[in-house]
Amino acid sequence: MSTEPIQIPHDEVREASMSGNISALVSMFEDDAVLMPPNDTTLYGKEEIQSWWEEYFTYFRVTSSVETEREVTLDGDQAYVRSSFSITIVPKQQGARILDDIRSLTVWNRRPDGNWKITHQIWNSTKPVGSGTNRYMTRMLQKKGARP
Amino acid sequence: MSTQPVAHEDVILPFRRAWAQAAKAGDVETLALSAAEDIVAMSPNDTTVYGRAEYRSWWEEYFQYFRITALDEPERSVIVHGDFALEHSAYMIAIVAVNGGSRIRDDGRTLTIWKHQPDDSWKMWQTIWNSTKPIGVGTNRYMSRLMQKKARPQRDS
Repeated sequence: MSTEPIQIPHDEVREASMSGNISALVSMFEDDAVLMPPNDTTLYGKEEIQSWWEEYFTYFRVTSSVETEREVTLDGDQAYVRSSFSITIVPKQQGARILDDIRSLTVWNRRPDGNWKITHQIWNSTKPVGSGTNRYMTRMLQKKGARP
Repeated sequence: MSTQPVAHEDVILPFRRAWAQAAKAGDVETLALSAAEDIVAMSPNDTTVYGRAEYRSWWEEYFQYFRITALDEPERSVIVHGDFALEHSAYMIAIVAVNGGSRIRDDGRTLTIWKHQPDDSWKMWQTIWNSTKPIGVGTNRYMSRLMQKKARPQRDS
């Protein structure tokens, strides 16, 4: 087991989310990846993950994402990345800038060709309920009638 | 696809069941002992908990305010990679406030990495969870209120 930094494309995920590059973002995931965004259903597989990000970027733009903590644990072809970051998003239609502080746990798997892909990812906010980025996502979902 | 041998047997289940039983019983010591010394626990809408001592304190505070009356896992999967086990599960929980109030229900997911121990047991090493419910419902609204109340400056009487 090693805790040395490894060449997983962790920063590329952040860069793709900031540029709204959905294809780059989705390419980081395994075909059967599991994504668990807060206050939303679990997403299974690349197709659902792509739809989720498409919807996200319909409404929001990520203007900054600063990583404040990262711990990488490498165990053979598996890597566990725990990360904290401060994020700023801006609604595309209207509304004020939204700040959030987030922790995430991402599991990466190295394929035989040497490429790393995400198998599981989950995150949550350290901010009190009602603040942070997800209040907007929730409102959007409620507005769309996705919730009872 | 990993080139490493991967075991799919749910070796974590007895340890998760013991943890769940302790959570329902308010048994802080057993909960703390289920954690690795260097556990990192990331509870939604709260600061990150580092180490077993902080993890114990977190539960002590929790049980001052809440009692867990039901805890079930409708879905779980475990993948073992050497001395690490990746557990992904969905949970349904019901809690009641110790000082009264109606029962609160929540549905969520947890991703937990367990570490194999020299005595052949498994301990929770990194754990994070969140709710599938819209903001403002579920268990965390109560935790949030509690934290806000605690953070409020005390007024002179």
